[in-house]
Amino acid sequence: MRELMTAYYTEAKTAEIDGSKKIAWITSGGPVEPLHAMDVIPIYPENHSAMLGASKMSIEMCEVAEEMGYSRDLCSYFRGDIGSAVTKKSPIPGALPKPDFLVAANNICGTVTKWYEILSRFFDVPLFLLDTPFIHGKITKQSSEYVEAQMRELISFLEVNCGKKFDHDRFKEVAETALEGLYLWEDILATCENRPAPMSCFDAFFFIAPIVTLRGTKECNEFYRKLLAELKQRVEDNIAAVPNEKIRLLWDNIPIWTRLRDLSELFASHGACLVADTYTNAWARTKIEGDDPVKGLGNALHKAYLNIDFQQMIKEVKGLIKRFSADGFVIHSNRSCKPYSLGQFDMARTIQEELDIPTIIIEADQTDDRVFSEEQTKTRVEAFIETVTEKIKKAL
Amino acid sequence: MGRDEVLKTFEGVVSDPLGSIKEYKEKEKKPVVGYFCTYTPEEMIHAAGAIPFRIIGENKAVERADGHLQSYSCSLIRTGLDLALLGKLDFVDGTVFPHTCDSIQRLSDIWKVNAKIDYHADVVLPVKLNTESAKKYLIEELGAFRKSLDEHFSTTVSDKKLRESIKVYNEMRDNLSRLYRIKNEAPKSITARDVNNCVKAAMYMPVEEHNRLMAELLADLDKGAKDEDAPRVIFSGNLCVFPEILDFVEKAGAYVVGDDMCTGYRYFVTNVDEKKGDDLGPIEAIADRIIKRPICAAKHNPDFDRGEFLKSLAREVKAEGVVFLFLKFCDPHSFDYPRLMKSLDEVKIPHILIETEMDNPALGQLRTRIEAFVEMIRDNR
Ligand code: SF4
Ligand code: SF4
Repeated sequence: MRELMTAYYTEAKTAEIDGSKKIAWITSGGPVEPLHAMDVIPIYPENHSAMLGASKMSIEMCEVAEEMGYSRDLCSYFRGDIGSAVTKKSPIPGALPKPDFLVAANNICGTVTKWYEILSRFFDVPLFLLDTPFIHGKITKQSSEYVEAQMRELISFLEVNCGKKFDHDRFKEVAETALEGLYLWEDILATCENRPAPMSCFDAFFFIAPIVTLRGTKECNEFYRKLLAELKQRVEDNIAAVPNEKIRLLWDNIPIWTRLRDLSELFASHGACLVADTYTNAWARTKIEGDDPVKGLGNALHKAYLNIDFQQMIKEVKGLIKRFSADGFVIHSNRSCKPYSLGQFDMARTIQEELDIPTIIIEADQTDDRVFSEEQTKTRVEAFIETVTEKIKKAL
Repeated sequence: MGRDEVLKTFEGVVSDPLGSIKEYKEKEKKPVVGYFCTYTPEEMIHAAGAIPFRIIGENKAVERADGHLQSYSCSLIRTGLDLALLGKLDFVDGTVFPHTCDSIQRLSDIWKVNAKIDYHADVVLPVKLNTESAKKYLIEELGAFRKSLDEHFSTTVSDKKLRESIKVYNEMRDNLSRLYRIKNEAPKSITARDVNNCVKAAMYMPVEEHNRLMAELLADLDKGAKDEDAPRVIFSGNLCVFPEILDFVEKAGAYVVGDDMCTGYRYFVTNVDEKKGDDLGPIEAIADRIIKRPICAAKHNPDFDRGEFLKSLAREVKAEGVVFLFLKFCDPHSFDYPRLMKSLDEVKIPHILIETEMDNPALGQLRTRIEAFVEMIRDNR
């Protein structure tokens, strides 16, 4: 996978220099398929910010943003990104390539609206905002029409900024490839329904990069096809991600990128495997349906996991707990991400009461490691594991 | 009533908003509907025969809401939810959540399950305000809100009723605009705290009553009050929940001559165009106001630059300093802050940032900071 991602960034950096292709920065929930259809290279600042976290550069970058006047309480992905854009520091040599234009969808948060407004001023490039009204209960007619209208506006925006007509046939192809990729991704995650699970969500966090950044490309699907075969083989051979898997857990929220290894080892040391998570599963939702792929894509993006009310989210969580036979629920209360985190306390209570599943809430941040308390987390996780173990014993 | 009595009445309303709204409910025998955020189309609630009021919690430690909301959410939603959980909103007939920010959106989810208030409406306003498709959606969404009001309150929010409501709300907005002009031209004639009370009172009493009292107040203000040459300051941000801060500025010898706050100017700025209401329909006219009014940080409109707006506001009222006043943990406003700061730097207007939480004002320290700021403006001259 490293080669896959390196090739992707190398192509983007080359395009930045020789102008052979346009570059667009896009949000993780954004309409990427039309970009591929127009030969535009999509760049995902969120993914890059996660890399900053994993490579322990995020604090330094966040501090640069704070120097600029951005509050420490703002999303650390944003702070990391703007810090890196200003200083050009990044695990990618020369940092992310400069965008020709920007595409944001607020189906994940209001943060990206502001973030991309700032990027638009910083790079002095045009911004297209796909405004996807939040869904309380059912999608209303007026909101789905609004999203559809904007999908057409997006196409005009791309035509203007790429200086060529939109290729609908090509788009259809990309949409199909993307769909295939999403099914592959779904199947990959589903291998963990097996006992023992062949991988944990810590692996899934790592493997998610292609479905986010390369969705709609052949390379993405090829990679996943191989990965799926490998995982199936592991299932066949009974190879466990966590040897002696005793406890199966579900993870909620964005990973704590700065502590992946520590947490993974901590849980594994108790025979606990995080067999699934709401984060990587959210990507399997973006499926384009119907015979009009432009409309279908709008619809799929509209229904993003963070764009639905938490009663619906709870339903999804319950579904995951059942499907993956989870014994416990690990909730990351993520300071950076309010749309993902507010409501978690109620969610925890409901899950605990209705499914009788123990839950734990870990207060942390996706990449701002300054708010992570190692000692406290360790003690609390250990107590939680004990509770889950007791419960499993009793059930036997 | 004379000036002092009117101001006293407003002060009474603002110091006990829930008590006041409850009293009006009983007196007028009308349902009361609470709302979050100034983008709520109050006219529509009014036309449904209810009294709208803004929900802002109390300046004290949160008791129950911490079991539902993380400590990194803003005071507005934490204290608001606390009111509901403590049963202090039991007399309320409904709540309206217009789409504002991620926090309000999730609060709506939590509220629905825990607050136990009969009527719950989400008015999912567009975030984008600069396109035709957004406008069309906004009009339809307001139309859906009208239907939901009709159904719940067994009434018909007719165009005729809406036009009448628009009129009384325009009158309220006109009154407050006139008051702001007077404060700006003769800042000695009324204190900043009283001006703020006039605005907030409009959120906690029947609009007709507010209009009546404001007319009396405006007739009785001493516009000739001579002013010394004191520094002029404006506020920018979300909510001013500690009017003490306004006092600090004026006691330090400066005047507060305007603001871009949602408990101030942004609440009443821009009227609904009544002529448009007659020609196109009142809902369209309300939508038009939502689009045209100076935007809040939570909205997206590339044709409206909040930095330029703040500069021009400062120029218009001859402000020499800006106090940024934010409730802490407010994403939209925190995102805009560096940009606004920069635009003030360009025209060399000094500014300070004050972040407060409603349960922990640290007023003493604020007073010192504000005094120092006013001093600095003076030295700057
Ligand atoms: S982490 Fe949350 S707030 Fe930040 S960009 Fe992602 S969805 Fe938005
Ligand atoms: S104060 Fe800010 S964060 Fe709080 S509800 Fe208002 S816009 Fe949202």
